[in-house]
Amino acid sequence: MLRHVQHHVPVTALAYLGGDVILSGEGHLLRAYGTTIQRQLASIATFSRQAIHGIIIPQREAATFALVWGGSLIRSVKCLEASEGRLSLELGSLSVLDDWILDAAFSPGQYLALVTAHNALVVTHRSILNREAHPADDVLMPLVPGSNCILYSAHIQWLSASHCLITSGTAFGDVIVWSATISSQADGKLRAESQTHYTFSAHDGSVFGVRTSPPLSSSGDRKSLLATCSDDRSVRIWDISDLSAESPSMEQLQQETGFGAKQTVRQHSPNRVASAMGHTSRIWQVRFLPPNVSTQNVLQIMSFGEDASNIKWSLLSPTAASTVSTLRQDGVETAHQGKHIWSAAVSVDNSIATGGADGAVALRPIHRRQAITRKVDDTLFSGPSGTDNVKSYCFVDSKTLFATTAEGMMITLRIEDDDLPRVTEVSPPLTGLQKYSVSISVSGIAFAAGTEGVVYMYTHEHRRVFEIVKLGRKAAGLFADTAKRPNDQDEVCLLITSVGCTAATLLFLAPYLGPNIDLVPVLQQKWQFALPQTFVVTSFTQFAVEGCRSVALGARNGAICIFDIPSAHTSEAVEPSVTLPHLCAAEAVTSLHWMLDEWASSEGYLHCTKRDSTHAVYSLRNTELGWVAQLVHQLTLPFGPNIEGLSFRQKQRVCIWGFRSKHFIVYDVTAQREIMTVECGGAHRFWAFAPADEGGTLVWTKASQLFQQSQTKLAYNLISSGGHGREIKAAAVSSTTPQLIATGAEDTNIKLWSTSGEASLLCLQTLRKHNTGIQHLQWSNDGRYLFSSGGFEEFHVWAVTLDVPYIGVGVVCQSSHPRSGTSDLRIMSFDIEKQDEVEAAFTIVMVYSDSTLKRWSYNCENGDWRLLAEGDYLTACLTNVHTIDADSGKLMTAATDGNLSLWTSDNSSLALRWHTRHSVHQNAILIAITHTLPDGSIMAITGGDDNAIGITRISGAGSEPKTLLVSRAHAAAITGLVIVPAGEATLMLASAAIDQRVKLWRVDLDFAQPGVHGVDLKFLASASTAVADVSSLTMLRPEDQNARLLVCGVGMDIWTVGI
Amino acid sequence: MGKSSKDKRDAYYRLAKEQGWRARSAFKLLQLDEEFNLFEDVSRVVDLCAAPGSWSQVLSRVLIQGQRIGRAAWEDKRYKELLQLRQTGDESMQDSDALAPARTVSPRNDVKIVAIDLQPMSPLEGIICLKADITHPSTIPLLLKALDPDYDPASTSIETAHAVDLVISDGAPDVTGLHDLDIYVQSQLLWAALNLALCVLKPGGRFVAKIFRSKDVDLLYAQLKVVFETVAVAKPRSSRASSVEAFVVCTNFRPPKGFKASLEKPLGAGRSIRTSQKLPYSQTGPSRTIREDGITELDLGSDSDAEDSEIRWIAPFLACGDLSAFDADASHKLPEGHVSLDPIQPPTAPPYRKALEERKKMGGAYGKTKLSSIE
Repeated sequence: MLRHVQHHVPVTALAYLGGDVILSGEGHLLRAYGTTIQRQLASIATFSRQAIHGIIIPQREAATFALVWGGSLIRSVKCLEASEGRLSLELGSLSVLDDWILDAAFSPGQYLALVTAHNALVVTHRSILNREAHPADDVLMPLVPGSNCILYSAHIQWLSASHCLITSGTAFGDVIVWSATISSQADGKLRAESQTHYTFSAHDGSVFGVRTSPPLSSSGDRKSLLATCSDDRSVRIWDISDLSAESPSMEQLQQETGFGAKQTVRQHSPNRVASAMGHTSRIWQVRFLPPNVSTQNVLQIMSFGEDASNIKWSLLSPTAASTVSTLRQDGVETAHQGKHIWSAAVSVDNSIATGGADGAVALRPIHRRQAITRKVDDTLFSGPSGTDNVKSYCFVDSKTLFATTAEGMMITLRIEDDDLPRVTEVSPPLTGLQKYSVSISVSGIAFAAGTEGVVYMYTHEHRRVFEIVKLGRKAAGLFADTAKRPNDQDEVCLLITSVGCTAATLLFLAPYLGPNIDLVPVLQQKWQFALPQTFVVTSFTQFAVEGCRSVALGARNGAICIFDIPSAHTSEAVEPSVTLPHLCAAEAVTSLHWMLDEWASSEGYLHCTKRDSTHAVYSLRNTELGWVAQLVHQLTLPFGPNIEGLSFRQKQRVCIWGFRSKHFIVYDVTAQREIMTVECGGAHRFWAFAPADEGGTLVWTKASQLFQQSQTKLAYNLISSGGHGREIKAAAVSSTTPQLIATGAEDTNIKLWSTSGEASLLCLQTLRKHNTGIQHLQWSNDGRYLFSSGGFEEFHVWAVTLDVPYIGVGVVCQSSHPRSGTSDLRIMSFDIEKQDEVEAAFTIVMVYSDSTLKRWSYNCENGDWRLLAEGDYLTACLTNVHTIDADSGKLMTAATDGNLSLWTSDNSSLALRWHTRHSVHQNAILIAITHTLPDGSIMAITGGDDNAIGITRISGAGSEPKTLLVSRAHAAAITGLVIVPAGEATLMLASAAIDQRVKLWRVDLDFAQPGVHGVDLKFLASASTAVADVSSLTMLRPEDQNARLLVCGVGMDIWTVGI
Repeated sequence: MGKSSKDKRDAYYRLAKEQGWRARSAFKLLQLDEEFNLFEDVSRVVDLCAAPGSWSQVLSRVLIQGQRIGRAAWEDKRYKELLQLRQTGDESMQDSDALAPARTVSPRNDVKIVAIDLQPMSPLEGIICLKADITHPSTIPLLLKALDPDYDPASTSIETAHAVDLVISDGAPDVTGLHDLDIYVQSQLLWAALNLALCVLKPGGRFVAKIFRSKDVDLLYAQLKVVFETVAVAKPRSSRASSVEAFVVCTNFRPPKGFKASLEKPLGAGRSIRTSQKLPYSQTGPSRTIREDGITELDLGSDSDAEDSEIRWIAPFLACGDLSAFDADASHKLPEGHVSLDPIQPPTAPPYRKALEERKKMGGAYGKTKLSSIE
């Protein structure tokens, strides 16, 4: 009855199947992705409920099968190339071990070895993987029995066809290095002789990762190294070349005392080669990287941490300065969101993959050429005096910089990837540009102006300079844009602001590049704009709507003004037509971009970036009454506050750049990832950026020196990204088409998703405003508003607009509750009701962690919040609230004391009082939903920490609520309940719990009978979800008549319900 | 988070400091005792994974000093006041445990308490602390010798070897965040505690241990049910509802015939108790009963549990600490003039202590080094 559709959960295993396919373990699903095409090729459920923890591919044959393990189960999976770019996965046989599997390895010969969490070694013939069915109790027993110590990590390496080396890391910081020689006896049974080589205390905390190096050829005495990583934040390298060393086993060391083994282990330790710290939290895994010419065969390793980052290290030999080997940190990369890299794989052709708790797989070449910061030598353009330096610059094409110098010279610098820039003098020193100059560029044309107010124009195509206007005042700023004329010829618009002048000058220049290169630019038109007081222009764009031309100016104080250009020429200064409403802080508007709506010619969208970390979009409509402007989008980006620019890339992608502390960041808004990071020293400097598809070129000034750095390729590619970095705590689904899924997580973010059919979940927007984990989310009935609550009394109202070009869904935080951030109370839950009397106003009841509740009125029009009523429960934390009857203000609450309570408000006072308190659960009620029965009574369905589902019928006044309780509905706390529509007299109920089960129930109702006599619950079906820590269960809109369920927690999981 | 805000967020943290407990988990044992009367006729107790020692403290105060440990506190009073204020003649409210007289306990004779942990633990009066590995076979003779100095491992009689009335364990691993792994490691700790308990418990003895109520916990319950007559899972009010932590309370130890426990061949990894193929519970159909409190309880019987070849069973759930006790999830108003106290025992040094020190030396915490300013 429950059919699995798809899920987005942490990636817990990865392995390369040849060069261009990667296999990934996501819950119990094995997925195959094309590494070049970066999409899913195939997916198969490998186990019924066990998550995949490891995948290995036999080295010997062509990549045709994989061994997959998880918990104590192993399964072979055939990987068949079906047709071009397609792969089919087929399940092979399943086998069971008697313990948790930590690692597995195929021998060069015919064996498969597995090591368990109790350090037992299981060796079998590979042929068992071809068996058909087995009896259930045919358990693969260890060849070398385990011990009582618990391991967190192990690695098996075959040294020959019959000799394998095992390294084991314990929970208490010890490492055991041992080996086993396997032989086949006359009766066909296998025999192992094992030998412990080293037993030692390697770390101060649990050893989460161990890895032995492949045989080393180049580095002298060292034949084999061991890398370990730990809870203690360190990565360590040990020399285990000498395998003749014999050590007593862990058990022998403990034999005499039973007092742990710490004191005696030292003498059985291998030589520690190096140790280093780099990650900010625990380190889960470590890998040796294949040697490469570019690294001069220096041994490199990579570590993967809880901090979601991976660090590359080089093992440096002793030098004159240091007598010991050292680990040098070569680069930190954070490709994943939130916490945890759980899996990693290294391919034979030098690429490396990581899998995160965010459900993403990141792929990158191991030996990528590091982006290099180059200093631009200023002697290249310095005059005879040798002291000239660059004052102001801008890009005239993706690789060429136009610059003015302190001496008043105009030059171009052609940036070369591997060489010094080529400098060309455009104009000899001009007195008007000496000491002070500003410049701007647009489509191959640059403008420069200085103290005298003379504006020069440089056309890069013709390498020519013209003087175009004399304003007579020191130029304060230049802003340029291009415009399409009706006759399809481009013209250039230049806006000039001058020091001490309250008007800005706009010039239209056309045709600026005729076929006749001698054609001097024609000054078409010149306008003056009257700037409002304190309006310092920081950004500019021009646009035309239905033949009417307008410009938008952004100011340092955050204001944006629209000026309409009169149809007839006037010498009067033009006054602004409209000043746009703005919600942000008074921070500079750094860029403005106009996008005409393809469908409605009188409408368009004005994008802007601001120095308050946001990107905003206004919809502008030209009506008979003038401009109608509406802010449809404004979200905080994960960097800033200085957001400086924006570009629209191919395939409807938006890229935004700005600064985060000392770094320049380029962020792809559509893919929701950083695409370029340059350490340049921070925002307070002169800089210029030319964006490109997978990066761009940044030039910046630091300590009067010019630097540049280019990127042409992404550092890493992401597959199935977009997930939360921490567990989801709340989810809500909108009623709109397409429907939007809102999820709120412990990482304090809210995400909006879309999904259809088996297509993967697509993250559309990330809403960053909460400072605490999200507690509850709810949509308004029309899907135009999303409400969210968290800790510190944070409560936000988000206005959501569908179908905004380029950004998809527009989101604006319309209001924050005035008490947000004022105390440490959590708003555990809330319920909203639209008010009848006001157009856009809501009544919101919130329940707090201190056992109180408050009813507020919120008016979307004026942003007004008003307290309507408040009440006190007892001392227990309230967990849920529902409006039972909006007219009379009747409420129902659920609490951690297991009680449902009914509340009424007294119209004459502000007080809310509970009048009925009804005990349902033994412990906290974690989820409560309501359903109105045809007779008007309310059915409250509750899920408790006590594993029970309660169905409570609340009839009219005077009668006590009655409860039917299913006491052992789940094996653990029930956190999600939802009613699945099924028919008149029956209801279907779905429940989800932290036992990772989704269950389906039938509720039979005979509501003519009193109380719950006519209510019965029958178990229908159960399924196992890959989502741990389930926090919510919601209904998606049915597809193909089938209801769909969404389970959220550590990941997201979708099921269809067959009725 | 400041000390004071933690006081507000967590009533038990504050109360533990006020009442001198080494950790807030002391309340969990006290509340388990309230519900299950764990210490009735108990004189020999083993506390496993004991450090920092708050459960041993409870044992010491209850069994050795014979204290009556009440929960009376300002919030309890507030609760009663509120109830009285709001009393609407509801009978069920007057029955509330909060108003019932507390049990009396007096000092007992011949009390022997052994606390075992791999970590060092500050001594406690009357309690024998052993620094030992609970999974190691040599720990059992050590433990039995500590309980009974005359114990001679050479002449083991069943009675002297099975001399313990109660085994308790509050052990938990540092969770990694990989749920499967954390559940597995916690189950291994539970097995380790159970294996030791099986070796030393008297027939009829009790076993209390921390368990993670999450995926496949029903497999563990089913195994426990084989060796104990009753198995319940309990959630003290002092344990947060948002945490997967709960406690199995197993009573009337009755090992199956022919079963011999040993730490040489422990149960757990692979070895389960398979004395009979019968399910540990009787097959029942759905039943519908009306409880005294008026709630109609529907038990779906065993059918719903038997959905695969593995033996699963859901132990009955019991919340403990009556519902008027402090709510671990609620925010609390601090009483007037509240002074935030220091913890009784500072937290033990984490394994990454050196990393923190190293970072401090470099001039900052968590990667925000001030190195650049030195350049």
